[in-house]
Amino acid sequence: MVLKTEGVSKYFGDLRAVDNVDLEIEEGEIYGIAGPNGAGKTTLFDVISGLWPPSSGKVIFKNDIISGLKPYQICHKGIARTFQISTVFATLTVLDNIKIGAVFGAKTKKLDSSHINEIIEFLGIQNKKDTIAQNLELYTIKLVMLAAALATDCKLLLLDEPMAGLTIAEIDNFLQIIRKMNKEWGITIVIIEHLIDTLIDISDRIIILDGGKVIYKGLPEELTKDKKVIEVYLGKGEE
Amino acid sequence: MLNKIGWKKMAIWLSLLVIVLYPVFFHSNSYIMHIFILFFCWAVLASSWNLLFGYAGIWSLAQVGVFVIGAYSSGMMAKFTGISPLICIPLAAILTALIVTLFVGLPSLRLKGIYICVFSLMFADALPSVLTQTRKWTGGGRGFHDIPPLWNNISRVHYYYVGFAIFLISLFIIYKIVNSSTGKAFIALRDSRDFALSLGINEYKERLKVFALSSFFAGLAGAFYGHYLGHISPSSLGISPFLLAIAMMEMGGLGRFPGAVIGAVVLVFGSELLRLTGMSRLTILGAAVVLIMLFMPKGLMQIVDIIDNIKLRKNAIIK
Repeated sequence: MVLKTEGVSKYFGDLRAVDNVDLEIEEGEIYGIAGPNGAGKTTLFDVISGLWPPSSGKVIFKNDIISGLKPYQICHKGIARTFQISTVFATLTVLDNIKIGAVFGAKTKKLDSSHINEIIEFLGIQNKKDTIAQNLELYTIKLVMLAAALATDCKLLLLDEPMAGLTIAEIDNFLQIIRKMNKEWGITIVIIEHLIDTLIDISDRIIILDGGKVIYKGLPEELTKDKKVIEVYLGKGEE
Repeated sequence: MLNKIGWKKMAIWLSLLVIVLYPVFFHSNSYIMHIFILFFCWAVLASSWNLLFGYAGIWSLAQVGVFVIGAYSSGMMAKFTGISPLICIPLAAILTALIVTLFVGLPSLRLKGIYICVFSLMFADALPSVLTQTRKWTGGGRGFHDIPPLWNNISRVHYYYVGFAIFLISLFIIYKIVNSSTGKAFIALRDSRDFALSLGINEYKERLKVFALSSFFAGLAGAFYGHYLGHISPSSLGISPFLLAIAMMEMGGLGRFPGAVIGAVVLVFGSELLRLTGMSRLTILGAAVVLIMLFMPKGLMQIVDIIDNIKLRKNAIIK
């Protein structure tokens, strides 16, 4: 088991954004998370990556309790993430964006340029290396965000709606990238995604969150038959 | 040939040459030299502020206060202990960095954006009262006088070259910082804090670093300024030096190197030239600031970008 959460909750005042969530993510799997807007998916990522400490409960990464650590410490343990709202360092070049991940994300603080080149080639952004990030289009911004996260040499990667706003062709490419990272680089992936077919297609296991609670946990194939999931998330559809 | 060296490098080397040779040819004109020395101080102050405000995006408004702390600490150290000012100046800069990091940097770790403005302004605004309360040592409202000169029988040419050395070293180090991974971390935290944190940047460490570095250089410039003028008073903490420094930084280009230096050139020398116009000096200066802000919101460094773009296009056509 690579990541485990035990009764993790996050309250904002009276709002239970994440409510008593237990997860067990195995090494090497692709773990899907879905749920209606406001279900607490992103907040769960924020808690795991340390931006918000949990109000209660524990997050355990490779037998170490990481809840309560600072984001940079959690990053150094080997957890990286991307953001739903595509954020890069707008005034830096693509290469500098990735270097930030490589220099600060790894504990050693040594710049391994062969590793960076490997990532750049893997994602196919060689010819954008010297572009200032604010001049990029959405798909490349997402790739740069991913590249910087990969440069930290992560073991676990949290992807927050990476495919929102992409075209069908771009989604196909992105799925290939996710599979490759998972299979060839051995990175465990947790992915939030609204496109439920895509999520079923790519995930080994799926959970559905609603109102901060886990309402479904299991295999993707059985998801569409689950009554509660149909009720709160998928909808009955026309019969 | 010209294309190979690059016009920017040419411009920088040419300006440095002019500064180095100026006293050799015009050593009788000590007034212009005085303006140059003030320019060195202002340029370092504005550049150090730009490091904090422009690059790191920490909106501290206390930088002129930091400059004055540098002047007082070096002046008092030299006057009361008799140590050579040449040793006092770097010591005072370190002391200033310590004081400011402790009293402004540490508390503002918990603050963001505009709240840092309010907090740092309070710090700067409290300094005159502190000086009045400690008038026994600092001279209070009348100022601190008889600060020892750098060495006995020093001439203005000497001050000119020492000031130039401080200017060169400070700007060189600031240039190295903004192009290092530390500088990139400052920019990363400014551009997108959450992303920077998730990539392993230790926010507290970097923010304390930028406070320490920027106040070191402001303190250094202030310390030299105090020894040069021989006195320093709370009037330096007034609104006009504050506005002048902020205008230099904004006019030159926030978060750009060497934006603040260009801003200092325009404001220090421009304001001297405008003395010829008499009463309307401040009106013209104010209008210039407003016009530049309106038409070049990214400051005078935008001119550099425009020239670069034209060159790029020309090269593209030739190819």
